[in-house]
Amino acid sequence: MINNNPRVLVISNTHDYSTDHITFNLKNANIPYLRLDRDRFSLMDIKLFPVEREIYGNSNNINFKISPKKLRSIYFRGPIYLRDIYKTELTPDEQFSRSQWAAFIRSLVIFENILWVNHPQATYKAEIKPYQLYIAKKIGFKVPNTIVTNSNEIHNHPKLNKSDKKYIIKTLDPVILKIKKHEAFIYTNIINAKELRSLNISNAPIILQEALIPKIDIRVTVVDDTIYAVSIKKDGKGIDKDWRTEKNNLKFEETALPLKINNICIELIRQLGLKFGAIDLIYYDNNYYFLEINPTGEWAWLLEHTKMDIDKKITNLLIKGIK
Amino acid sequence: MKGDKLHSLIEKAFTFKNKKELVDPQGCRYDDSLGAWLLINNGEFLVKSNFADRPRPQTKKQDLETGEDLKSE
Repeated sequence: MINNNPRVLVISNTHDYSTDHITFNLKNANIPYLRLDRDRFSLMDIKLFPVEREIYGNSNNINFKISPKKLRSIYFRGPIYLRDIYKTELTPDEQFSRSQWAAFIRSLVIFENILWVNHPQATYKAEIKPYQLYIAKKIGFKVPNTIVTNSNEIHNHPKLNKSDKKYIIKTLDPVILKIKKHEAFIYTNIINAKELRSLNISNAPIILQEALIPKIDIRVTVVDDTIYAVSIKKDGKGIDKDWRTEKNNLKFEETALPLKINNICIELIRQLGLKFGAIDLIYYDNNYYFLEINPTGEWAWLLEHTKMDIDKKITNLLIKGIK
Repeated sequence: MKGDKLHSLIEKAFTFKNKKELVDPQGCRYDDSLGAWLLINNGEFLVKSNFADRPRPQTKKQDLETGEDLKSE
């Protein structure tokens, strides 16, 4: 039987392979760590004592005790919002299990005064796109003109009545839908003025932005005070539509940003109370514009395409903690 | 809503008609104590191996099985 009293706690699920990079590094650094996977919780025997701020558990051949005396950091790759409304096939037991275990991992906030990557409360707020834009603009980013609306008559708004312009429409929050038995995702879309006049959005608000094109997408991954920036191109050129819809010939190139932009990216993370963030910028008309930030953004794909050591930086941050 | 028309963003939704189900990587076992997938034949960490069937991390959404998506479930 292995007894584990971790210094680093990792909350993930078994098929989140990005997390394996972190556990690999923690093992090599000989740091006591524990990975708890949400999809295996029901196989464990867990007891949480909220007042004492201790968790005891066992699974297979592992006994663990999580206590604030030893714990320095939590790598939290769990959900903040439950977005699986499209899964109508879930049994009542599965629905109940998911909701209650989600509440359980939120309960880990009892561990105060340790380092979180990221703290659920900070992530919750930082995922609100209008708030992101407000803070980004406040600290010095350029941002696209944006309206959050469900108005079918929005084309009459004075900010938008140029007939030759193109616009971006996207969701206010990521959503996966079930359409005719298939899962469906809504990417960012470019529309013209004619489509703007025929919008049918009264049933749910959208984000409407001026389309800044032609553009080059820049993904900036920030880990604490370290910047990892890549430009995203296809056949040597920027991609005007949502680059995630492109599958082939994409090239991710490490790129250096102006010092001022680097500093604002780091400041944004700080302002949002995060330690990690994946920021989407675009380069348009010789300027950098902020589009959005994803506090739970993916990063392991960058290890495949570049020599960036994002996994090591995250690991070192977790090891260091704040004590 | 205008008549029976769908919301404009739903009309533009991308449907995944051949979505792969989440399956455990073949030739591997999940090690609870290490918190990682290991190759059965040599105990190597799957993500650090040259294993041909190693899951390639994706950017997001086009491949719904990535961690980023699972984190919101």
